[in-house]
Amino acid sequence: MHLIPESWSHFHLLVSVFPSVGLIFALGFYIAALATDNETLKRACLFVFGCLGVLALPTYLSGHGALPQLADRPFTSQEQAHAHYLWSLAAIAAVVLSGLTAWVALWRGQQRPKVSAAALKAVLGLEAITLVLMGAAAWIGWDINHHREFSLPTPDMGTPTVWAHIHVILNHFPTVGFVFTLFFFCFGLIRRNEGMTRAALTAFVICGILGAPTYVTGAAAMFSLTQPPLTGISQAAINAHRDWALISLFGLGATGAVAWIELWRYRYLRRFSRFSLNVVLVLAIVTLAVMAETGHRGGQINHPEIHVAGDVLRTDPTLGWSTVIEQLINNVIWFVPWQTVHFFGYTLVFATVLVVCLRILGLFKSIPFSAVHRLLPLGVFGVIMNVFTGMLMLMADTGRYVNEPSFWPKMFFLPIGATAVLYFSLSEDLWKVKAGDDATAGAKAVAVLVFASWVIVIMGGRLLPYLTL
Amino acid sequence: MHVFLMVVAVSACVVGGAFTAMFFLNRSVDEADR
Repeated sequence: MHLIPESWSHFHLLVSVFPSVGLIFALGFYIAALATDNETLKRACLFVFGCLGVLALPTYLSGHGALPQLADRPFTSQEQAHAHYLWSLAAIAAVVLSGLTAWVALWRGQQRPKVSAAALKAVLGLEAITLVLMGAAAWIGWDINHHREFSLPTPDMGTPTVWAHIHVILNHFPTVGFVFTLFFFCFGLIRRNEGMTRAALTAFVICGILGAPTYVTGAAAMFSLTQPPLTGISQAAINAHRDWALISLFGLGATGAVAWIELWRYRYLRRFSRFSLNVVLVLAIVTLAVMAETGHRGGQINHPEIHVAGDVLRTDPTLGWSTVIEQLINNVIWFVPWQTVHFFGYTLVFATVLVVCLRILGLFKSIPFSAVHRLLPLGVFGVIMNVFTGMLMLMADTGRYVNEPSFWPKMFFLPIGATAVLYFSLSEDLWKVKAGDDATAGAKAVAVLVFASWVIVIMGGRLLPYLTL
Repeated sequence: MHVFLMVVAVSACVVGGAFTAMFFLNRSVDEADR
């Protein structure tokens, strides 16, 4: 019950991320619907765009109600609050107008087999404009509360505060994205629409991939805000947040992994297993609940205005699962076995990526693409093993890892390499590449990106002990 | 000795688990792929 907002600021923090970050996911589904000409998915997206327009009203009202509460807080920039208000008015006008256009297009298409193409294009254009305005409003909005820590100079040997900034933005993507993905997934299950289910499974995989950089930037944010300590930032509150964040990470990973396996099996079976889809559904619901608690605990770190009388905040910084795991994994007897598994994981990833990419680039032409597609789970198992073991190893010495020069290229290219691999599971053009055929130029470009990304990820990891600032 | 045993035990469990999953996953699509 403590998740239910009891102040305008708290309500605004929750509701405002839907028309901004949520719009990115809704647009992703909409573009997938237009690309695959999936009429049901198009109509579902138009309905969601209309809902986002309706959400503009509580977003505006809660924002208006939050302004006086923010004025009482130290470290709050009033200039930023005013600029946020003006940009938000423009963004809200745009989201209402595009939502209204989407619902009119949906209503006019009710009696027709297809929604008019001109209306669909108009909605796409309006939503793109809305996204730009929302991005500007959200950027300034985030800065209102976080202006203080983002403008701090980085002390010698300290972790740059830019990671706290990136974490504050990035953490909304797997969380809000999960809400939208779950909606489309349930809708696809009810309507038994395979295209929509495929799109939702893909989005679950993307959310799972985003979990890793979100967790890592959170770990870096912890060091930038606690070493040296910052007034009002409590290590105990951070520990409470990261305990839940660790479970969220594994929940996101498990949902993404099962979703990807089902996407892979779909290629051969041409139908989804009802049992596997139900497993994804259960995992997604549990993960969403855990992420809600994680988000709430994260908000408590630097948003005193959302504290309610009944909140019991942790005060002892030595408590928590994360601190226990940190101490445990620092012991050689636990570090070395997980490090060994990490090495097994990246040999699997490298071997799979090498074979698949070389076939796409034109080697082993006597093998059809569908044959190398059978190998993809080997690489995915390698990634799963490495995300799990990598997080354990990170926890052994987080402060050092996040400040190593080769760590950030590794974390930047990890989601790029993993997301690009999705192309291999989804592309119809690649699936049609028979023995002797050449892949398209676009597929070759993706293969180069995937191969380069994973080489950088592996090299970045291997160089960690040797490249120091 | 303890570290060696831990490496063998953890690797056998994780890598063994992954390959078992791979085996069943492959078997589930074998018929459709023929």
